[in-house]
Amino acid sequence: MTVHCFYLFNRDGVCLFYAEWNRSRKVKNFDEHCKLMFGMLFELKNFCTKLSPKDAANPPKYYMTPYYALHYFDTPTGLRFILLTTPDFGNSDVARVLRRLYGEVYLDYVVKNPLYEPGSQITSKAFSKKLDAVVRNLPCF
Amino acid sequence: MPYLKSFFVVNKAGGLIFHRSFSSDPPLRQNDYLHLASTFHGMQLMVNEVSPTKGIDGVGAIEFMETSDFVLRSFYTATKVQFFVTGSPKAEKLAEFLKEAHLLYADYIMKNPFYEMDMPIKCELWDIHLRALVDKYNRTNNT
Repeated sequence: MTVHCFYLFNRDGVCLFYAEWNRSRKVKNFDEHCKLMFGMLFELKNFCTKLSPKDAANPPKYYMTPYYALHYFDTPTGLRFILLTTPDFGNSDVARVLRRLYGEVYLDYVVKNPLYEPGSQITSKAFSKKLDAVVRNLPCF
Repeated sequence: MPYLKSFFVVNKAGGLIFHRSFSSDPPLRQNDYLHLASTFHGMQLMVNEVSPTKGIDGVGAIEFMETSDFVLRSFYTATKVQFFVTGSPKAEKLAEFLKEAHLLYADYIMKNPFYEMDMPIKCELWDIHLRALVDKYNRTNNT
């Protein structure tokens, strides 16, 4: 049980923040990788919305493959919080943790930061430290 | 009460070769189902590509997915034919359902001398048995 990495995308597909913990397969070209990841997430959400009987958007909560699990959380403003873990995350409520990352970490350390320019990459040390602490606190870390 | 919503079979090129809906949800147009199947096929390739760990045999496609409106379970056969089924949020034992559906596929489609590989499935016996399997699933998981 472990956490592989974290992505934060904005509505335009820019990767605002990336952090990794235990990632065995290294990324060669990060820009290309982000494009692929964002494209996949975009398709994934479209797919789930289309398959749902309701008219409203129906984002996925998570998916599992034999090798990893991807947890998905998006906001009405188009931010996408993504956490990749091993598939045996068990009962730890990762969805709630992602909401917390948005409500407590992102809002406090990015939105309330007067020096932050919307749409630019997050370089705040306080943000990455806090995020690291929250992720390391996960029971499945 | 958990129940099955729909069932898809996708060939190795991403073409939809079989689809049935079992719930009372408003159906989509046939074209949309074709689109959904090929989207899912393409997505599976990307899901494998963005994997943070190396797969042993290189196939790291979606096995299970949860959203607030449905759950999805998918199964890759050794010949790269893909089965996937959606059910209501609390549906369980979807993997068992897929396994049995695969057995039916082997019996009624693969052993059918008139069936051409990767072509849409039109076979009455398979339809009857699949329907029975769905009914059995809905019965046993609702009591």
